[in-house]
Amino acid sequence: MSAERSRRRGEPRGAARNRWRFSLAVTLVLLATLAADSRVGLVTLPRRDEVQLTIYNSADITLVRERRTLTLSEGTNRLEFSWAGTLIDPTSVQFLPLTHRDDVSVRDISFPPGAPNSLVWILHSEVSGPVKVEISYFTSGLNWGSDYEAVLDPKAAAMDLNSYVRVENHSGETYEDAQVRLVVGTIHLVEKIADLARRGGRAIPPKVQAKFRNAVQRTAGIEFLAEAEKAVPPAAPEIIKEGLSEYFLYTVSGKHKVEDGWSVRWPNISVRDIPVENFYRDRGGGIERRGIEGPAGHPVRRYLKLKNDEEHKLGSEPLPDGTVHVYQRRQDGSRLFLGSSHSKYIPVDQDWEIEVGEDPDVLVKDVEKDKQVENVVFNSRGRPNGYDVHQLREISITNSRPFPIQIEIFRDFSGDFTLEGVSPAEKYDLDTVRFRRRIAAFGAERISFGVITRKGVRARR
Amino acid sequence: MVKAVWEGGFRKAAAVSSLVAILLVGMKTSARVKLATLPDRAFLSLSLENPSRSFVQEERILTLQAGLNEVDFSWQGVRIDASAVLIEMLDHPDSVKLVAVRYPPGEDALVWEIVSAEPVTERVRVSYFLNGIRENYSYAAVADTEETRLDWRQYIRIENASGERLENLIVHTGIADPYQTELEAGEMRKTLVNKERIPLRKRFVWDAAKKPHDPSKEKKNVGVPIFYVIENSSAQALGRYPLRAGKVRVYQEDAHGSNAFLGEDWGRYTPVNGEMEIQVGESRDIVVTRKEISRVRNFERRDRDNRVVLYSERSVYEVTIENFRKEECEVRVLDHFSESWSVIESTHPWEKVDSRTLRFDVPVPAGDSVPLRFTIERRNLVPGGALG
Repeated sequence: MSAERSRRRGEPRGAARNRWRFSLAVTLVLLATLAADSRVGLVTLPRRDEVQLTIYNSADITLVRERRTLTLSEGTNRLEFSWAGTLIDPTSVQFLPLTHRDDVSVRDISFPPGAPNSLVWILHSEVSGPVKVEISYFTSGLNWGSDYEAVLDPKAAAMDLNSYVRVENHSGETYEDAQVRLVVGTIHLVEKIADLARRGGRAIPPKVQAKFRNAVQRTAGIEFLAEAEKAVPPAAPEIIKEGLSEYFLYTVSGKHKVEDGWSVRWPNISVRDIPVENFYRDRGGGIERRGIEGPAGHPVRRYLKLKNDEEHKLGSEPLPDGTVHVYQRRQDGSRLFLGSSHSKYIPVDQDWEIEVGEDPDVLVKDVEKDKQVENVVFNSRGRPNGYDVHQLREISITNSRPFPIQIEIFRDFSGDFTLEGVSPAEKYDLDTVRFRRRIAAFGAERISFGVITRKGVRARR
Repeated sequence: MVKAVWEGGFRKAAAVSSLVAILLVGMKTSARVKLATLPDRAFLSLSLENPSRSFVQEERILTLQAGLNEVDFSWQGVRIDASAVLIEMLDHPDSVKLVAVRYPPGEDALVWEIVSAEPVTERVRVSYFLNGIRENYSYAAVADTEETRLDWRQYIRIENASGERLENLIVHTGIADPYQTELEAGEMRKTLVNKERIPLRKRFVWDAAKKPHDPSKEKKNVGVPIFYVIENSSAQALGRYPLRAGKVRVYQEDAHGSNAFLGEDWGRYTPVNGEMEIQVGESRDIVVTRKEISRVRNFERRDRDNRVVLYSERSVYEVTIENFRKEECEVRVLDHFSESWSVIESTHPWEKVDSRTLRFDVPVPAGDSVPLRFTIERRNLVPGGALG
C-alpha cells in the first residue's frame, strides 16, 4: 500500500521503500552466549507473530502485547530489546514465556550504559529450541476517538446514526497485523507515559507504578482473539463490545495495519430510524448578538433528544464522547448540514441531547412589561429604608419551523423574590424557574409572570 | 492541480479539478491491479443553510471489483476538514460497504477501503466542508407610485475563494428554491433567487428618545423616519423561506416609466411569518411637537427634618402631529418613561410595549393636525431619582 502511494507520486522505488518500511524501531536481538565462551553463538531477529494494541482514550497510554518465538540455548541467553525513536515507557517493559514456563526465567534486567533506549534480559533456559514469549509495554502516541454522523429525516422526526472509531498513531512505531482494542472509560494514571518515555531507560519504576501496571494489565485482559481471526476477512470489521470492570472494551475484529503517522477510521454502530424529539433550551442572556436579534428575540439552541436505550434502538453499550455532525435528509436524498457539537460520554439508559446549534427560526424574547415600586417603609428618622419592586415579565416564543417543538426556558432570579403565576412544578431550584412548553408548527406563545423583589429592610434573605 | 502517476509511466495531469478521486482496485494480496480511473463528478451541490460552514456533496461513479477496493481521495490547494469527509453508497448500500478510512501522514488525502460482494459500478455521494466560500444576501425593492406594492427581488452573492472550480453546481441556500450555477475559482457571482410582487405597508415612526421635541426651535427641518414594512408570510406571496439579514435598496417607480432610489437599510433576519422593517428615509412633511403641559405633585412624604423623601406626580403631555402630505397617514409615536409610571388618561389608544416604552398609532388626515394628549403618573419618586 505505502509503496503504491509513493510510486504514484513519482518517487523512485527505493525511496518509497525507505519511507514506508517498517521502521524496525523495536528490535529483538537474541544473543545466546555460552557461559565461559566469548563467542556469539546465535543472533536472530524474530518477527512479531502477533501484536495486540489496547488503546485508552482518557489518557495517552496504550498497552502493547506482542508475541514472538525465540530460539533459546540451554543455559544463559542474552536478549536485547531496543526502542529508539518510539515513545515506549521503559519502566513498563515485561517479558513472559508462554511455552516452557517452568524452564525459562529472567535472571536479570540490565540497562546498558550508553544505550538509552535498550535493555538486556539475561535469561536462563533449561531447554534448547523455540520458545514462545510475550513482551508487553506501555507506549504513548497512540490514541483513539469516536465521532458520530446523525442524519434526520425530512420531517425531523427520526434520525439515522452512524458512529466511527478513529485510531491515530504517532508513536514512532508501525504495527502490522495488529489486533486493536479500544477502552472506553477513565483510568487513573500517576505519571504520563510520554514523560516516562522521554526520561529513557534510566527511570527506576516506583512501586506505585508497578501496582498500577498490574492493575491495567489485568483490566486489559489476557487472551488474544481466536486464531480464526487472523486472516483479513473481506468484510467490514465488526466492533465487538464487552464490559470490563468500570470500563467498556471495543475490539475491532480482524487484524489491521496501524502505520506510524497514519490514522485509521472504522465504522462502528449504524442504526436507522431512531425516534427523536426536537428540543430547544434557552438559558437567557446572549441578547443582541451578530445582528440576529430581531424584534422577535434571540435564537434558541436546538437539541435532538433521545435516550441510549432499546426504545431508541440503542442501549447495548455506552456511547463514547466525540464530535457529532448533524445533517438532515432532503426529499431527494441529499443532505443539508444543520450543525455540529461535542457529545459527552453517554451511559446506557441515559438521556442523550445532541446539540445542533442556535436555530434562527426559533426565537425567544424577554420583555419587562411593567415595573412599579410598592410598600415603601421608613426608618425612625422617616427616611425610606425598604420597598418592593413589582415586575410584570413576559417571555414570547416564536416557532417558525414547520414542525412542533419542545422548549425549555430557564430564568434565574436573585435577592428576596416571590414569583406570581409560576406553578410549583416550574420551580427548578431556589433561584431558577424552568418553563416547559410545546409549540405547534409556526406557532407562538407568551408566558407572563410576576416577580416581587423585596429590597432594603424588606428583604428577608 | 494534481499529478497522478501510475505504474507503467502513465502520467495524467488532472488540470480540471483539484479534487481528485483515484480508484485503485486491489486484490487481497499486495499485488494490486492498478486501474486508473478518474471518475467525473456526476452531480455537485453546495449547501449554505448553515451560515457557519459550506457543505459540498458530489456524486461520482466508481468501478469496483469484488473484494477489497482502495479509493484514494485527495485535495490540493483547497482546505477541507478530512475527518468530516463522508462517503455514501447510493446504488448497493447493502452489498458495497465502507470498511475503513485511512489518513496518510502529512497529506491532504484519505483512502477509503470499500468491500464489494461482486464487481459493480457504484454511484457514491462524497460530502465535505469546503472552506473559502463566502455568501451574502441583498434585496432590491421597487415600490409602485401609490406605495402599496413592492417588486421584491432577493439576491445571493457567492464568492468562491475555495481554490476549487465548481461546475454544474446546484446551490441550496435555505432561503429560496435550489438553483444551478457555475463558479470559477476566485469568482464572485450574484444571482437573483426570488422575485415576487408583495404588499407594502408604510409606517412613520416618531421616537421621543431620538427626535427633538420642539422642531420650531431647530435650524433644520426635523424628519420623521419612514419605514416600509413587509411581512414574510404566504398571505403576502413570501413565507416559504426565512429572509436572511442583508442590505435592502428601495426604489420607486416614477411617472416617466423609470424609477428613483429612495434609500437603503440593513434588513434583519426575518423568520417565516415575521415582519421586516426597512427605513427608507425621513419625511419632512410630517411635523411632530411634544410638550409637557403641566406637572402636579399629588403625594408627598417628609422625614423628621421636614425634608421631602418620597413623592408622586402627574404630568400632562401634548404631542401635536401635523400632516402636510396629500394623503392620510398613520404615525407611530414612541415615548419613554422610567420606573413606576402609568397612563392615567389619553385621547388615543395606547400600548405599554415594555416598562420604559409607551406607543400610540395615530391616524392623521391629509393636511390636518391631530393633538395627542395623555396624562402620566409617576409614583414613589425620591428627590433626585427613583427607588428600584
